[in-house]
Amino acid sequence: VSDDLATLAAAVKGGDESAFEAFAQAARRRLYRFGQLMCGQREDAEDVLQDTLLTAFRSLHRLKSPDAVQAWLFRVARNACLMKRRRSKFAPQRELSLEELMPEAGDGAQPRVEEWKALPEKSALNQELRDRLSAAILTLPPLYRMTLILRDVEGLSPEEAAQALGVNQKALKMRLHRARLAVRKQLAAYLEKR
Amino acid sequence: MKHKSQKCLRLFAKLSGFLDGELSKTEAAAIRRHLADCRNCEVFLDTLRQTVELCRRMHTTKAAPGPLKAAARRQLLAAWRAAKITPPDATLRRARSPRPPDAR
Repeated sequence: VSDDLATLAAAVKGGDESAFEAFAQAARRRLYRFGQLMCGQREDAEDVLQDTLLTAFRSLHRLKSPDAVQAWLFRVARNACLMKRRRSKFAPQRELSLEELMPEAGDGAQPRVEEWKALPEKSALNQELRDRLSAAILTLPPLYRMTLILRDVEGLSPEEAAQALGVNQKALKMRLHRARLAVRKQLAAYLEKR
Repeated sequence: MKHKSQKCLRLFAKLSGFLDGELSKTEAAAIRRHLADCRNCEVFLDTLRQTVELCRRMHTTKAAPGPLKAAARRQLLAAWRAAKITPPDATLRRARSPRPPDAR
């Protein structure tokens, strides 16, 4: 997909109007899941998508390398999400401390092995599990949420994700680890109650 | 199951790095040795690995935006055409200029 995006971005940057529609659609598909997981609501995700594309089309001519278009688009989307957060009901920004995520902290609930073993290893996620996972991701503070979505859901490389988020590798890794721990903790609580 | 040993807690901060293959050989070997002796950490790491796997599989789920509405398309096309009309070099020159030309 990123290759297609890069090719289309190069064409649009070069002024090819016939590539406009295809680039807009490809970018929307690529960014939609990010917007949905960030905002939690389809309507908000559509708003973020439109704001992102507006900014992207206004400044695409300044993009130096079309090969970097994916990280660049996610960076624009990140800014659109943060702008939206200022205007609406996003959770306030906070940091996740490692201490609160340590195994013996918090509710002290440890996962029972059998419950995790029952999770589908290779098959598609069922709707309930997907909803639980989305809900767990949505409770993360926005910067942690973005990090986890870009690295683990969208599969960006550490370099691309750091570029998209405007952070260094150390901060990226710290946030990713804490975000994963927080989601794991929520998943464990859900599995135990099931 | 509780993780009481200080060693468990020291390794705790490095588990994502371990899963992502980002640790040095020495650090990774230390974790492997610890996991061989500590069932709690082994289970914890396995559940963290599963969490990451589940997140990765969210990518395969079908998530598609609604069709691009005509009004939204017109707005995007107008923004792009307007940006095309302004030569990029001129934009940069204006941005870098210390004072507007008419102020000299």
